[in-house]
Amino acid sequence: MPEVRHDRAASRVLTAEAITKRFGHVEANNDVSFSLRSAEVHALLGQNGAGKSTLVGILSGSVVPDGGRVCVDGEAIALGSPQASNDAGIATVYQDLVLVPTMTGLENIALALRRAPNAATRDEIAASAAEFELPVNINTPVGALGLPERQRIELLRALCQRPAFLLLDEPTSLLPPLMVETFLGKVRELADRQLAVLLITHRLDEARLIADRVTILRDGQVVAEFDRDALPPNEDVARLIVGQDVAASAAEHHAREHTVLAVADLVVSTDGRAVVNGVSLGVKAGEIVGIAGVDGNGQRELMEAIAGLRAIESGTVAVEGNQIQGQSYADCWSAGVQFVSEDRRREGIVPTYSIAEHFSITPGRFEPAKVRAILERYDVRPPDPKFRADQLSGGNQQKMLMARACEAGARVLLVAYPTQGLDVQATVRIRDILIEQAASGIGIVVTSSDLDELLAISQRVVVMSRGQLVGAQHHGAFDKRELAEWIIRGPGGFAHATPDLART
Amino acid sequence: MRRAADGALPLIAFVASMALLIGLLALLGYDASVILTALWEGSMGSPSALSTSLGQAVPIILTAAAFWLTVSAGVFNIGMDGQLQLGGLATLLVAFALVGVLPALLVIVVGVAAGALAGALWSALAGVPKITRGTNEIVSTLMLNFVAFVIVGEMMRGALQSETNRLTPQTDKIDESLHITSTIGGAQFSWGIVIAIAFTVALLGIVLMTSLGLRLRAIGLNAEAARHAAIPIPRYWHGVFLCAGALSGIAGALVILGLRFHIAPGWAPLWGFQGVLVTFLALRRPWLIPLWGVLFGMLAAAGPALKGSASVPDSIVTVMITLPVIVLYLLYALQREPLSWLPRLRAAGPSRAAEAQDG
Repeated sequence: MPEVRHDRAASRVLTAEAITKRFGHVEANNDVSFSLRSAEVHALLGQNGAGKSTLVGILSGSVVPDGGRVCVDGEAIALGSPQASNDAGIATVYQDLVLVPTMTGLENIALALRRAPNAATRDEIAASAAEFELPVNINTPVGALGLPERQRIELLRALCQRPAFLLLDEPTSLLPPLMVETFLGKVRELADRQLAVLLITHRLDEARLIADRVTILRDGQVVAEFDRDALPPNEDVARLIVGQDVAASAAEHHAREHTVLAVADLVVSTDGRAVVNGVSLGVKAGEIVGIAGVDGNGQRELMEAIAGLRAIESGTVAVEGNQIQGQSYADCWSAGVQFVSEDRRREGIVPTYSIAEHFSITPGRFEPAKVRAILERYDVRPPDPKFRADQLSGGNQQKMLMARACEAGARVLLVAYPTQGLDVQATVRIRDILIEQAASGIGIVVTSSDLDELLAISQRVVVMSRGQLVGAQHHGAFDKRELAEWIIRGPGGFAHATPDLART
Repeated sequence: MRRAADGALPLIAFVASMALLIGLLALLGYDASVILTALWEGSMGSPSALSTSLGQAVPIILTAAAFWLTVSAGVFNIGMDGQLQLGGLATLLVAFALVGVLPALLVIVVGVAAGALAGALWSALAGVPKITRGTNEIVSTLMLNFVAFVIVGEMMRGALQSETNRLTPQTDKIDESLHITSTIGGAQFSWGIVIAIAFTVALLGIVLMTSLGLRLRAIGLNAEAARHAAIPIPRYWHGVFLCAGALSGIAGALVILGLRFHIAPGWAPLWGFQGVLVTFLALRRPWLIPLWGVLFGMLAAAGPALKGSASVPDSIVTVMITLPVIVLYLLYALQREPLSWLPRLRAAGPSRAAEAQDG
């Protein structure tokens, strides 16, 4: 047994009691109760949008819950105060790394500790780094370091605060597969040093590897909690994560023989990392292809690359047989490729511009007289071309942007998270629009992290993981459990057979 | 109601800061009535004062239009002064080379075109790296100003040094046939003001009233949304840098042809930065750019009178034109979140209470 270093850490417990948090009409957390004890790794599993990050935010004080309590050793702490959480011994490593890239590791850590970046602090950090066996370079601006090292600094920064509870929000999502194992080994070691570790992940294999307990969240609720030894087989866990009910598909088979979009061996890189790694995909006229997967596995980049919004490293994209790779979005638009982003505020709406102006800034040159008819057809409320688009509801903004794309002579329509943040009514309308458009002969590619949505509208669902397509299923032979397994396992699971890291 | 207040705020800021400044000067022992008289006499008191006011307004209006154009498209070209000086130099060279060769009117047209071209190229020197490589255009346009100043200064002292007046560094004057001035009431009025306002109004019309301008402003309001509406942003930005540079270059051309007639030390004070100030004052009412430009031209023209008859230090004029912008942005801030520190204090309450508990 490693010696117990944290004097406070004798045996402490962090509990969340009946936590409730709503964002608009979305219940991010609904009566969530949960506990985290010293010397354990507690894995929190769930799909995107299951409420994992919200729960972490509440525990760390960055999100104010609507109801419930957070207690440390039985005593309630102030909610919505990062300072209070910090003082209670909670440290968090967030999903998006939050280091200042132009500062060195020393400066970043000193900043978090509210200390001067002097020799004393440097020695202390070096001592902690040695103690936790985290080899880091703290003298180079972190922006110049590789991701794994940046992550080690982030971890060290949390550990230097001497926490009793360490919250890790999807720490492995940015790491290459081989590094994931090393990182998880380190996490296991920390728990063996009496630290309480909460590991947020959507990868079941990671939880299986190091977790003592596993809690599964779905739609903001705790649906199951297992001790390590009681963890059921992968397929049963997958079913718990995605839910049992497979919605009957409303999509009919409109697919024709004629291929409108042909993507071959597409590679897209950012910062030297292949985020899309050799994707080939064909879409027929009238077909809706759903791309399933956990966010950040290259779906977004794939779509942007097809539309000419992102540089392609290699591979080809052909629309109606004409190669369009390397062209600008304006040219792709004219070739019949339209992309609708899920981030309507940031990437769709021009502040102060009217609906009609949103149509007329595209290369399509919509006649103002036609815009009203289009708005009525797509059920945009109000169907007034002079209405300011930034004052429309999210659902109506989405309908407007879909209308703009579809009516621009689309041959291939790319839609990211078509119903994200929309209410039920708007969701139904948007799905209807997609199905209608497919029926009219357009080829459609939809990404979503909501598997039910994809199954409801797609003729084919492919799973994307770490930049690759790892499997496909056709309408009529959808097997949600298999899809969910593909999603959480990724391409081939871990590269090497790994010794069981838990309970060494 | 709110829109009306929006339009009046710059004027309120201007009047308030003038009153504040004159009040302060009065406290320091200056005679307020003498200052006001000097302001009036220097800017509008005589035909020659008025012609100086309008002559100074020309480069201010055009550089304001140039800056407003780039801001509308979401970039910040503040290299108007360098572009203006090189434009003036190009016009001067054309005037020397072609006078007598071509009819005067044609020389003027070619001179203005040369000024526009020089300004546009100097602007593109900052624009191309910005658009293709993402360099910071604020830094590059600002720094290129100083390079342009050195080029113009060296030409003035070297190749273009006047043969007839070797005592001070200056160039020869352009031929009188090329002056774009008319004598009214004994003072020479530059037609430059008409040309400057015409160009500015044309620019405002294109940017505010055409579909081209609609796309351009969409880039400035939300570049990502513009990109996702398939607007080719690089192409628009290249155009913006070239047009803004051309406008500044034309300003230099009109200064040579209608106000200075040669290049001598101090021939072009930092009008471009006054253009920036005008743009900020007119940002919510861009059609008022010419009026603000004339007002600033009047202040610039009144500078010598203030220094002379009222014995007010030079720098007061600089304060006079910058203070309104500072006051205006304070007013905007107050309008946006009136006394926002009050609720912020309240929000800080619970966490402080929590700290106290823990301690």
